[in-house]
Amino acid sequence: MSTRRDVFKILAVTSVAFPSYVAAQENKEVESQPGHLHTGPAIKLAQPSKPNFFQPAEFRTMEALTERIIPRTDTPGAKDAGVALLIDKAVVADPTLVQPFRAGLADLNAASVSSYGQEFVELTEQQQIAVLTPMSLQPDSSLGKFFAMVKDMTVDAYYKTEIGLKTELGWHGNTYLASFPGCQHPEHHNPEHQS
Amino acid sequence: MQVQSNPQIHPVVIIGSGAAGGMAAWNLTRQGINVTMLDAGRKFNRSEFWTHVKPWEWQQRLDAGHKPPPIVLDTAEQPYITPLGQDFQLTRVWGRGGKTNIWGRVSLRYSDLDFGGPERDGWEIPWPIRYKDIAPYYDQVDQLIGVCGGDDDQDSLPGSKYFLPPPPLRCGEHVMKNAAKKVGIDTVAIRRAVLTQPHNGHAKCHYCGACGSGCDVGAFFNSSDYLLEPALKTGRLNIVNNAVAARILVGDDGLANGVQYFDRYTKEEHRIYAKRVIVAASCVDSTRILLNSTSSKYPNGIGNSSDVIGRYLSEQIRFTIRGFAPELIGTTVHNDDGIGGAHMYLPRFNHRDGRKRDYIRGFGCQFWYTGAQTDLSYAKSIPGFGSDFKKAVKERYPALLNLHPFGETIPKAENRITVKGSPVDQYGVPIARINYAIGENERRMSKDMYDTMLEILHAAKAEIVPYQTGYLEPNGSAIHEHGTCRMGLDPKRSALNSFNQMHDVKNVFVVDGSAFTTASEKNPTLTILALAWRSTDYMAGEMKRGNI
Repeated sequence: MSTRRDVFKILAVTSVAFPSYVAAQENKEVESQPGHLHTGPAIKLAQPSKPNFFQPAEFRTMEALTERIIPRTDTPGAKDAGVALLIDKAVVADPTLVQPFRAGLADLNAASVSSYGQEFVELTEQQQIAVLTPMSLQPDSSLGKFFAMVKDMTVDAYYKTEIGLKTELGWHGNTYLASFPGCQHPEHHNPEHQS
Repeated sequence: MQVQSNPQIHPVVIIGSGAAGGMAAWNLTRQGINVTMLDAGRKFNRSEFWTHVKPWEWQQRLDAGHKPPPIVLDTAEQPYITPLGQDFQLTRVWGRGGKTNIWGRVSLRYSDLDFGGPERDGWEIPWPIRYKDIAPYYDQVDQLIGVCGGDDDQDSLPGSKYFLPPPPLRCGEHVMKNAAKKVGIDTVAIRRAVLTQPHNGHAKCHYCGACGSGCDVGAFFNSSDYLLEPALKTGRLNIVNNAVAARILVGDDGLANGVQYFDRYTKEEHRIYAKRVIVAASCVDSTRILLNSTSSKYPNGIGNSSDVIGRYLSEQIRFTIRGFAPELIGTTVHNDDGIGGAHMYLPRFNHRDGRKRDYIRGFGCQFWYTGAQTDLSYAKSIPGFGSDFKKAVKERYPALLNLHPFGETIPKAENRITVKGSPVDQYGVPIARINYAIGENERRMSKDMYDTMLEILHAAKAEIVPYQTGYLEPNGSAIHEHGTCRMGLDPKRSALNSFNQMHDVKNVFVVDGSAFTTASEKNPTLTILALAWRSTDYMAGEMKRGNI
């Protein structure tokens, strides 16, 4: 059986010689071939570079806050993955999030000032963690709710990026495999293993 | 607007191109019968499916203004109504192949435990068939479409001599298999209409796991590639695209004589005449068409003297509960895509373990999304933040166990689809009103389902992801609607005979899930295919005998 790459080559070669005939032929081929090139032409993607909702100061706070939730370690963190920009897009898409973010970021800064006399972005990493810890432990307080919302959105955004899913977690799916090997840990196949 | 009608009288008109309509067209055309099919959409081009678009590319593509093929019908285009606070999540596909373009592919034979359920517990009417009636058709369907599975039949899950090899289990599935065994519950290899070997000219699966976006090589059964393309090759099938069926037309003799339909986009009204009509538009749309087909002879909708059409809507109850297998935490991440969805199934067992239940019927369990997945929602339930949190998420990534049980809902007259008094759609035809709720039997069963799933997770010593006890996924979300034009022996309590033929109108056959007498806990498509094959064999015979 020819591989998908072979089929693509055949189509590419033929289309040079008989372009108009091949358009129909290719379509026919596509419908009858066991395998074919499936991703279509490459799409040029516009990369967002600046936020549309967050004000510059708010955006810097969001970058710092999401980076504390998923920091850069030996692998990239939320800031590397552009999580604050992705959250900005989510807020633009859902206007009900505008007020919670505006108020939550102001409250976060108020808490930072009250503890350390400076806004959140100006704090050291340890001070930022100290400000966030009670928020993460009190999910029913208003700051706790804000923190939980940002954490959930950070998780949603980060682990959907190539950095989060592939680089951090090691996901390597959605690809062509000639066979599926199944579990490669023999010890998990043994029913006695768990007892 | 002028009505477009052609005086030609077609031997057979089929409404719908999914599993049911596709099978009817394939089986009749190969027997030399000319068929015209009304499809509410058009053919989807497999090469345009977003099968191989990586998760992070989806959003980028959408942002760039690209869209995947619109396979699922937008409710804004064709609305339906539900009572306030009683949502029903209806998924429809208008287009060639219908929902088989994106279906879950789980292909489980019904057993006499399913067909004989009503006799045993006395709830509602019995099925007019038994396993022996449908078994030869299951065999034929398996050979035609290719179903993988194992040699591990149970009394609740008959097997097949024709299975393709099942895919090997993922690590997490081994863990759950062993845990279930410990608490006395057997699991089996999944039975799924996915080609683990090339079959009848169709490509084999390449394990990319993106079946839900449509398969770019047609490696799982879909009605378009597997049934309609061969039927078209006979030269006896004509498909009318973008033909939204509205009503079945009736002659003075009380028999159906055609179908009224509207062009999906020009909204032009058409009438097509036929000697026989096969209804296969999927449960809810078929029911809507039947109920809208009112006439002086059938004021209640065609074939509905029993007043059962629209009633007894039965879906299934489901939930998901997840955990982490301790021995898999921190292990190497595998590509766990496989054939997409579970490689293992837990068949119904509650009829034979000796424990008394406070409900009737049963449930089975599937294990979708076990192992390394693209859905990281579990991370939200891991406490804390920072590098420890990040590490905890990563360690658990290969260890995810996912249990996804399906339970039967029993048929009830008040769970019904109606059209009378409904607002009209863009073609001026009343839309479906769906009034559906689960009851005490389902709530009791769901308690047993939760207890069983927790028992398995505890036996696996799993760390359980926080869950809300008793939560059930929204009604309709199993996309397994049944029962609203049910078959039965008694014409006063059923609309169809045992061959899916209307008791009242002999030249109308209804061959989709609406014909099912009960829902069972199993995925219905394989049985829809077998019943549609059986029904159209009977129909072809009746045509030869001159009876219809």
